[in-house]
Amino acid sequence: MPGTDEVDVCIVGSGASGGVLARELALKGLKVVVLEAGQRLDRSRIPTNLPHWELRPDQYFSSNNVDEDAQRDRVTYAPDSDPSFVLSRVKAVGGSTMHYEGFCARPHPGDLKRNSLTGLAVDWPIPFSELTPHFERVEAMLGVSGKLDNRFEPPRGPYPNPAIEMSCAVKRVKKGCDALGLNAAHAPMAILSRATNTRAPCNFCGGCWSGCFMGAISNMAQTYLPEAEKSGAIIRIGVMATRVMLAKDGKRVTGIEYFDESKNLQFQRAKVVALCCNAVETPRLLLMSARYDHPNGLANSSGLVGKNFSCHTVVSARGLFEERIDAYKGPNINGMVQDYYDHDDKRDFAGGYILALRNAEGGPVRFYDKMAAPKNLFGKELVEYIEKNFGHSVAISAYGEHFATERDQISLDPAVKDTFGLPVPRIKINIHDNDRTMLHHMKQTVHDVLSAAGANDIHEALAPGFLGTHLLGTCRMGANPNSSVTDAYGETHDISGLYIADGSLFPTSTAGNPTIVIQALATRVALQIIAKGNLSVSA
Amino acid sequence: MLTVAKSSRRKFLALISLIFTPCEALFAKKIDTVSNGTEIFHLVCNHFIPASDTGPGAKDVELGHQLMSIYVQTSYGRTLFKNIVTGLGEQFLALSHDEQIKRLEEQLEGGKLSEQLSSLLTHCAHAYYSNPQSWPSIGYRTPQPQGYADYASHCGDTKTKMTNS
Ligand SMILES: Cc1cc2nc3c(=O)[nH]c(=O)nc-3n(C[C@H](O)[C@H](O)[C@H](O)COP(=O)(O)OP(=O)(O)OC[C@H]3O[C@@H](n4cnc5c(N)ncnc54)[C@H](O)[C@@H]3O)c2cc1C
Ligand code: SF4
Repeated sequence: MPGTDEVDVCIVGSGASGGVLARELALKGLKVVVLEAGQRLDRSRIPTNLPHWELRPDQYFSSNNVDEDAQRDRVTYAPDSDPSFVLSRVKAVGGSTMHYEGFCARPHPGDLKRNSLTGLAVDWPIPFSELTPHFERVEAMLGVSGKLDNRFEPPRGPYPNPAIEMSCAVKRVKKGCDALGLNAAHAPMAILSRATNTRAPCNFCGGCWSGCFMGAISNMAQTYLPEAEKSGAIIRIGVMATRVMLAKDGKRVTGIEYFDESKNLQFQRAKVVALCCNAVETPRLLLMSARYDHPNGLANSSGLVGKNFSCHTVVSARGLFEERIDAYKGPNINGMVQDYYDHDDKRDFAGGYILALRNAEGGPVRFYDKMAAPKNLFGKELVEYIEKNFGHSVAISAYGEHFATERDQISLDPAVKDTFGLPVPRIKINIHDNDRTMLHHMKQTVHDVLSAAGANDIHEALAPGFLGTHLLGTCRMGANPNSSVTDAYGETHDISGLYIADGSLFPTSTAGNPTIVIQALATRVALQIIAKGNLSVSA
Repeated sequence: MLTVAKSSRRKFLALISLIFTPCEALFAKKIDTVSNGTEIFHLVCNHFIPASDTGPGAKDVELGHQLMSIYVQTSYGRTLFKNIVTGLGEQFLALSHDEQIKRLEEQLEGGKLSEQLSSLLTHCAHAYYSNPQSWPSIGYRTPQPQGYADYASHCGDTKTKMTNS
């Protein structure tokens, strides 16, 4: 296996966590290589300026060969895994942030204290206050837009950019929240509300789900990665990490083995390795790296690699208004309610949830699918229904905390292999009693809000289940090596120089959107890598 | 690169977007292996999406023709076409307008052709509502390149159907 020059840090994955790490480390003058399995996405493939855009929602995120992508990125599900969980992530430069909607409400202090507050799960090994400066740094980089009108938000400074005004649809739904005494606030978004020197602001097109034509969503390819590359970080594209390599003593990392674009095995030597592959692929890589002295995979003396797989639960309702509200205009998430976010002993469930007020109705094709098709309409009735009602519907969603158990886990499929001949990840995740009780409350709330806002024909838009986009918890951090995979700074307890910086670190899922936390944690991991020394940091 | 369940239906619908990609070769192949099949197929499409006071119908936008040019490309499409036209049979043409509608209703509500006709209905609706010719009657245009500067104003303006500028 040919070797390459040793670098200070080899990062695997260029998504939310890998992008942050690459920039922060390269800015300090470290020699950084990023290995990324996916390709650079081509903005000219975003279809939202084309007549048929709704029929090709995934065009931007897929290569020309959808079947090949699917084979390469295959996963399997355990037979007893909840069928509502369908993995959704992007393998590309920028990772899943290339598809994300940019919702980035900060968590609350109670999110990190679930065991103290509820007796369930565990506490995070970090005080909330330690994350605050990292949130500030990330928000500034992303140009987060927001407004201080959420009475549940912990004290904080102003947002870097003014909030994106609420759309007609969200203002309409807000009336329902107001009537119920709920605080509908502007959603903090990693979306530019005003131009920068190099980027255009949002023009409220509502196409976020298909890729941002304007480049206004602050994904990693728009923000951190260009700065990382400018500072000298090298991104190797279309290469697949297969094993974390160790020194003979099995205690120190030496680099990463990977398939290059021509499917030849290569070895990238590195003083430090940081895994940023997301909470499905990072445990997969650790498990695939098993060797004689680590028979159960690397960093797995606790037996917890891949365990406690978590995400968020979701329920969504849609209704029709008398007047036109055009909920296909404006960023997909545009308002939020946190009245049920913090844990409250008086409720019959532990933890909390967030309500997202959305403009994600899409165009007429989606309206047909969501509203007319279930009614089995055709002919004159169909045409009249759409002419009368298109632009009158809106859906709102609630995202809930998931309390994972060790049975929720990522393992290696014993039989199925990907196109590299590597075992594919096998997913098992389920909804537990507390999650179910919370989902019931969430469902009631979304219906109540629409009803109070005056909507009719209210129905379930998404049945209670899982959101397959927030991947968390499979290498949890903690102080005790018996009950966690990494320390509070993301370095694995077992292997010196091997760090994890992605959503795998989360000890609990938190009640809100995770990416701002992933990015703050990655910033903290970067500082730790620098502080630990032995690397060529510039002053 | 995106990992979500890709049903064959989803892929087939993506094919429909080819309608907007002119390609002469598509029209060269033959699909109508059944006597009067094309006529029956057009009729069904026209019944599914008729013209309204303000908008064109399937016939006006040549929906049947466009769908056939897509169906001919895959065995799924060819089989669907054949099953629908043979299932309805030539006698469908002899029925009155109202009888034809009734027949389609019965079939869609649990008849032998229910699944196939539902698929055709979905394809008709997707092809029709992604066609810009259908948009003026519902006050719509593509999200980009202009975006919707009016997204937060003129709220609830039913008369002008707050739309495009
Ligand atoms: C449709 C969608 C909408 C979302 N909306 C929001 C939102 O509004 N707000 C929010 O907070 N979050 C949202 N998310 C979630 C958010 O995108 C993720 O939380 C975040 O990107 C996770 O960061 P990560 O670094 O853990 O992994 P990712 O961003 O997924 O990056 C992992 C990278 O590692 C690469 N990789 C994996 N394995 C290997 C390997 N073996 N070798 C080389 N490279 C590898 C992958 O190709 C990928 O690029 C959304 C996600 C999706 C899919
Ligand atoms: S609504 Fe704004 S952020 Fe969303 S895709 Fe359009 S321009 Fe981008």
